[in-house]
Amino acid sequence: MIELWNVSRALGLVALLLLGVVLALGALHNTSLTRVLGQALPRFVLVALHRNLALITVVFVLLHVVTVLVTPYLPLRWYHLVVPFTASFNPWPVALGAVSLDLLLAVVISSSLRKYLSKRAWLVVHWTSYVCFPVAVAHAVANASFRGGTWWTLLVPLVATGLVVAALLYRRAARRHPALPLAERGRTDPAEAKRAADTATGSQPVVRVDDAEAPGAPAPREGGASEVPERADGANAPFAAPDAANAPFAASASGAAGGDTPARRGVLRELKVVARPGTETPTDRAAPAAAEVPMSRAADRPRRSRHAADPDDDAGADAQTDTMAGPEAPTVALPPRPRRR
Amino acid sequence: MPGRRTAKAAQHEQNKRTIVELTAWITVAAAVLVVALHAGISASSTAADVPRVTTAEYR
Repeated sequence: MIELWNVSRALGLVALLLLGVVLALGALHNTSLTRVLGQALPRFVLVALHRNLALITVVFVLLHVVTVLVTPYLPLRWYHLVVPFTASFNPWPVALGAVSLDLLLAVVISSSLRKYLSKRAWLVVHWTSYVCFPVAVAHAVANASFRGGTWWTLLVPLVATGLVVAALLYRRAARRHPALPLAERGRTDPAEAKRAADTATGSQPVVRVDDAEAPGAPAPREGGASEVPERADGANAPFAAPDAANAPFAASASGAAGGDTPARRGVLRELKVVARPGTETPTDRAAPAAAEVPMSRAADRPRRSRHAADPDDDAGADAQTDTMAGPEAPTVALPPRPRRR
Repeated sequence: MPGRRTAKAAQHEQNKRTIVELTAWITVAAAVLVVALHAGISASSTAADVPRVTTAEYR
């Protein structure tokens, strides 16, 4: 029968170790470590493992309780193990075990009935596992005999506590990353949005290749028109410059030199737009309130309505890009933002 | 794309098998640890480790 007491101790120690593993898995849930492991193990595997190990922990705890009840050396009834401070024998360690058992049962039952509970109520009950574990560790330490030869069993609560503390420290460190700047939080590339905003407000109407005679530059079109990179949505179509000398904006292209290069085929890699104020284009005649108004004559600008966009104001182009409407608003496939719990 | 769908379904089944296998292996490891701890406790246990048992009874 003494062997049964030893079995009960072994079951309790393994249950404590499993509880530490379950708590560490729960603490590391949705952290960067989980995401790193998620390349091999998806997140639902880790969540399912957390749930399965919790159920196995309950089984080991129940076996520990049953063997304690069966052992004839301990004068304990079932209610002594459920209601704290009702046992006359070894009251404090037994009470700690009873509190830990009650909290564990509350967590498991609330998780089983999760669909009937609100998320907040379930979370409040679930977070009591952070109370259950230290109480269980205190129960294990208080029941250990420092005078006997089994003092080494204290290594098990030590290892379990180390697991949980390491997981919590990692979770805390993972949450300490600085927040993304506002300009980087959107789903739109800020540089691309700036170019699109320039196009949408008319501040980048026409581009002309400065070094048209350069070996890498695209060949000019017939009639003196400069080469303008064609876009699929035809955004540059209304802004085709009739004459390179009279174009109000000049652009220099950086392309590969010589031969059948992408630049010669009409695909420009980069365009640097230079404004030439004072030159009139058909676009200016069509839209007098556009970007040709000099900055020094702000008082002479035509009045805009409150909701009309200021063509000279591109201060929000870098930060607020999701609100742009129209086909010019680019949507760049950026990875989704990490969700915070 | 049926090929990709089939691959995703196969991967999902593999992940579910991984859950079951990992759970089973951890359960087996816990059971083995119980046996090992029991053996260690029995080997190193003294009368002071057993509650309410006198030294004479323990012997």
